[in-house]
Amino acid sequence: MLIETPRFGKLEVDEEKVISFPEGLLGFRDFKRYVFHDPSGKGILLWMQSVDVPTLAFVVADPRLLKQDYEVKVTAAQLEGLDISDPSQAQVWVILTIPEDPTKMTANLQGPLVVNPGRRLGAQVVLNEEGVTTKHPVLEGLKAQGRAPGA
Amino acid sequence: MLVLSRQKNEAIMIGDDVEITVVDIRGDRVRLGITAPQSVRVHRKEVYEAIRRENIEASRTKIEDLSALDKLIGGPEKPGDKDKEQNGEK
Repeated sequence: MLIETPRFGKLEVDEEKVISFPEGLLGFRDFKRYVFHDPSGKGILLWMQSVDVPTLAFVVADPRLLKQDYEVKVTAAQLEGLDISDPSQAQVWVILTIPEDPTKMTANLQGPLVVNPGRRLGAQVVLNEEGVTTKHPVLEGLKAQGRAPGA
Repeated sequence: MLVLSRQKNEAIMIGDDVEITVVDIRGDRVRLGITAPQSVRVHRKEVYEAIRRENIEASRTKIEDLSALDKLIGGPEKPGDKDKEQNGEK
């Protein structure tokens, strides 16, 4: 399948790598199919490109790179639609918001994406506990962990 | 909007299987207990709204090339591992 995207030009998408979000993302209920795209091949920051809307893409990251003690505490019910029996199967991603000054980028740790890669199903879950935020400052967070940006 | 008065330990039913109980009232703070089927998602509204707004803001990024940002963040211990995992490479 070929998607004509404004960012990547023609993007050839293997249908077997398309992840379905049956409930979409919050605010994007109608767009349910995404593919992870990693132009650099480094696996640090990836694009999550909508298959349905070529202009729609999110930057995502592995939250453990950003916050070592990050945990996603969800109920079985929240994962019900993902067919996850073993939590270690799950991949977790967080969406980054990147403003004009990218050093001020933030990570949405309160609404992580949980993906079951085996079934190619995903969901955005809402964490209700205190202490997580939708605007975790990425670079300040890394500094606080003793990892200098760019190290 | 339907407005109901409830006292502590009183409840309301929404449909047949959602029950909301007033557990405690202290000053201007009310604690609610919610019993609902697993398929009903219950969130604080401001949290739900914050995530929705953040998604919209994130989708509006003008950035096109992530490699400069990779450098800002720094890599994982073993670059490439995640990629293999993600793409299911053999």
